[in-house]
Order: sequence, then C-alpha cells, then structure tokens
Amino acid sequence: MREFKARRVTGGCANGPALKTSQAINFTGAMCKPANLVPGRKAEIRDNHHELFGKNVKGKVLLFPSAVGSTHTGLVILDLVSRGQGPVAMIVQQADSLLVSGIVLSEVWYGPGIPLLECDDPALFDAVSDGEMVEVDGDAEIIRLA
Amino acid sequence: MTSVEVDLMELTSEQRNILDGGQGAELADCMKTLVRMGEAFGAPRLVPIKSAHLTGSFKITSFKGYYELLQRIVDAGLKVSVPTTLNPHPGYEYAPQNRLLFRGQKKHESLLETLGVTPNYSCVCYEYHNKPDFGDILAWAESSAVIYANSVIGARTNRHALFADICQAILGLTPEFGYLLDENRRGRVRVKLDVENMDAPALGFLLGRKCMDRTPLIDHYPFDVAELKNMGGAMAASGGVTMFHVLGLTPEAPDEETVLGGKEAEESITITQRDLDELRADHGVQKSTAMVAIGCPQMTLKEVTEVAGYFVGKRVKKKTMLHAMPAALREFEKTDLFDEVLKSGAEIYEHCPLSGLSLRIGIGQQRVLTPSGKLHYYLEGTEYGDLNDVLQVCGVVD
Repeated sequence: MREFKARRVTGGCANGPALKTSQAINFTGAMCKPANLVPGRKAEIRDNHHELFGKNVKGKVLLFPSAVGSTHTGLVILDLVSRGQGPVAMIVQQADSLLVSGIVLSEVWYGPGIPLLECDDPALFDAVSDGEMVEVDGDAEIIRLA
Repeated sequence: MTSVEVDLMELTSEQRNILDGGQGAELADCMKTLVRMGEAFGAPRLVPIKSAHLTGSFKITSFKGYYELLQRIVDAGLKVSVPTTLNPHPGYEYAPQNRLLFRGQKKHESLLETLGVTPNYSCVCYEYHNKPDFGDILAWAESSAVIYANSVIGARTNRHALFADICQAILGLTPEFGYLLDENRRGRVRVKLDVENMDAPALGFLLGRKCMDRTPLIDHYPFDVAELKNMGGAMAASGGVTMFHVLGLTPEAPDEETVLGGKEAEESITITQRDLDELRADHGVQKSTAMVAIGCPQMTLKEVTEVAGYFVGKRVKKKTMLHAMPAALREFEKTDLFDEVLKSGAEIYEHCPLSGLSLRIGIGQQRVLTPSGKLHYYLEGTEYGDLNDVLQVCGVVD
C-alpha cells in the first residue's frame, strides 16, 4: 500500500481504476462531440489533439495535470457528476475554477459530488498505471494505491 | 434550509442572511455556490463586481443540468444585479442537425433575457456593451473574453464556468482569489520572438500548448486589437491561459521587472518563424478543404472591414463564411463593402462558427480551413492557415 498526501479541493471518498494522462484536458473539446451528444451517449474523450482520444472516463479516477479551454467545462462536469456519468474522482496538479465550479454546482444544486484533489507530487503520477485501483480520500486528503 | 458551515470565508451579515435562506432557497444556493468555490481556493471574502459576462448562450439539447437550473432561478424571479452580457447565438438555420441539436434555443434565449441579461450575443462583449476599465473586478465566463479583459484592459477576472457566472451576476459578487490578486498576475513564462511575419492566432495556439495555465510575458510586438483578441482566444483554447503580457504594450507590462515581480521567469522559450509556419497546413491540404470559416472570436467592425476589402470585385472559389459580432454587423450592413462581400459569393453571419459547424463536420466529414487558432483547436476536421493563406484559397488574393 502506497500513500500520497494531497490537498482537498472538494471532499468525499471514492475508489476506481486509474486513467492517467500527462496532457491537460479540455473537457469542452473532449465531450461536446457527436459520440457524447447522441442518445445513450458516452463520456469519451473525443478531442483528437489528446492522447486519451477514445477513452471513456466513466467510473475512473482521472489523473491529469489541469483542465484547459472553454468555460463550457462547467456544463460538461455538472452533467457528468450530477448524473453519475463521469469520473468517480479527479486528481490534478492544479485545480482551476472551471473544474471546481462543475463539481460545486452539482453538489449545491443536485446533491452528488466527487472528490477533487490537488497533488503536485510527481511520484504519484509516476507510480500509478492505467487500470490500477486508486482509493481517494478527499476528507483525509490522502490517495492510496493498492 | 440548513446553515452552511463557513470557516474560511468572512461573510457580511447580509451575505450570511442570504446564505441562510433569508431571501429564498434559490438565492441561498447561488450564495452557497460562491462560498463553496471560494473555499476551494482559500478566498477570504466575496468582493463586488462591476459586470458579468455569461458563456452559456447555446441550448445544447444533450445537456440537462445547466438548463434545469436556469429555469429554476427564472421561476424564482431572480434577476442579474450588475450589467451582464451574453455569448453568441449558435448554429446556422440551414443545417437540420443543428436545428435538432439546438432545439429550444429561442426559449433558452428568452429565459436569459428574463434574467435581465443584455442581448448583445457576442463573445467580444468588451467592444460595445460591456466595457470595463483598468482595475475593475469582474465575473466573466467565456475564455476569450476573460483573457482579453485581464491582459489588454487590465481588469481582473477569473475564468468562470457557466451557471457559476449567473450566480455571480445575480449576487453582484465574486470570491476573491486567483487573478483578482496582484501576486497571481505576474508573468511566469518568458516568451522571446524570432519572427518576421507575425501570425498572432498561431502564436496564441502555440503558447497555449506550451504555457498551459501559466501567464506568458511576450517580447514587445505592436499587435493590434484584433490580433490581441485572436491570439488570446487561441491561447485560452489550446491552453488554460487566463492572462498574457506583451512588453511595452499591455497595461501591466511597462517593463520586464514589473511583470516578473523581480523574480526570474520559471521558463524561457523562443518562438521562431518556423514554429508559426509549422501550424499552417500544406498548400495542397488547404486547397482540399470544403469551406473556409473566418471570425472566431467574432470579427470587430474594423476587422470585418479590412477582410472585406479583399473580396471587392472578386468571386470566391470556395464556400466562405465570415462571422462578425452582431453590433458590428449592423454597422457593416450599412456600408457598400457589405454588398461587395455578398456579391463575391461569401456569406456573413453573426453566429458562433464553432457551434454552427460542429455537427456539420462530424456528420458531413467536410474539412474546414480557418485562420482562427481557437476554431482550429475546437472544431473536428479543421486545417489552419494564416489569413493570407486562407484568402488565397478563397480565391480573392493571388
């Protein structure tokens, strides 16, 4: 069991398989695409500038450096979180207002939230591999790898 | 309505009363949204804003939450309390897919107007309807407007998500963190230019990639308003850049020491002509595209007038769509140049090209050539060319 200290941005606890990228994610560019907009839609990263192109974020602990791009990020995250369609937790090196707003809006207006933690320890990003189970304890500000 | 535990942020008694539900459940939730956001970033308090700008002007049928919340606050009778502008209309009428995707657009716009929002329908809100002064505190969404306000005007705003922007417009308040504070406005990446032919949107696209969310300090270059707009728009799309400085040009960059706050830059990079040129697709690829889209962010009057000049007495060889801000287009329509553009076969719109073209491309697989770094980033199936490339492909420049 390896543990990493992190900073809580939004609280809560979650477990899930890791999906990791060293590239920042533009959620508008990734999610506002036909595959994610049609009925029975997916939560696939459809940004063809991104290395996670085609990967589904649902149920994952998503590790990425930061969110970039359009302020529609809030629209996307709000729906992913409030409807349980998105990642179960997010770990970033730096949180930004767009990502946080999406989670906060879901929490305040709908109820469901997910933990968002900031961790700039490069050892965490090196240690995690895709699909590995990650335990995120937002309240204790700890990330555990099995 | 239960009381929210606030240990970090200091609220006035009126703010506390709103939070505790004294002025209704919806206003309490607006306040709770700002308090939670503020807590996430360690904001000590909420501060008054001069204006707001909203990003969520599109009714995108597939998304639900934002629209439900908007309906809820309109039903509760809430109104914006500061001057508030709004992003462009989406879509073109002609595409059936767009009519489906943006079904309910008129109702969505009427809900926003019921809140008291100015119906400017432009991402370039700062040109006519929402003109902040240096030092003003704002709560703006729309990444291209935010970066312009911070960098070129010297006003102060974080990048806000949709609906969080509405909560702030209603309360007239924003949590004090991030780009509201001097220490977060300093340059972090020193950008040297080794460039003969400036291509501002390409520079913006590259800097977004390289800087991510760090503020660049760029060598002096006499960028004009349109270049600053188009460069910033691209930087805020390919990256999360919220502010940039241009030495001796933008208001908080009189000299290097001031911008860097007496520190060393975290990183120093050089952008060469070759870097800029590499973003441009090969000529053959450019020619193979099905259409040309210009104006993302929307063109100002000066910009559309300049571009229009190339179309006089010419005939376009390819479907060409120009996009201008509505207020600029109303003025431009009165000029002879407007008729010349139409005579050339080019089309001119006041919509957002990104939303208008999104599904058309996805389904039709028709590639688009654009001199917009922002549109190139967002729209699937685009090729980039500088303005001269693009005008050549249109067939109006030799």
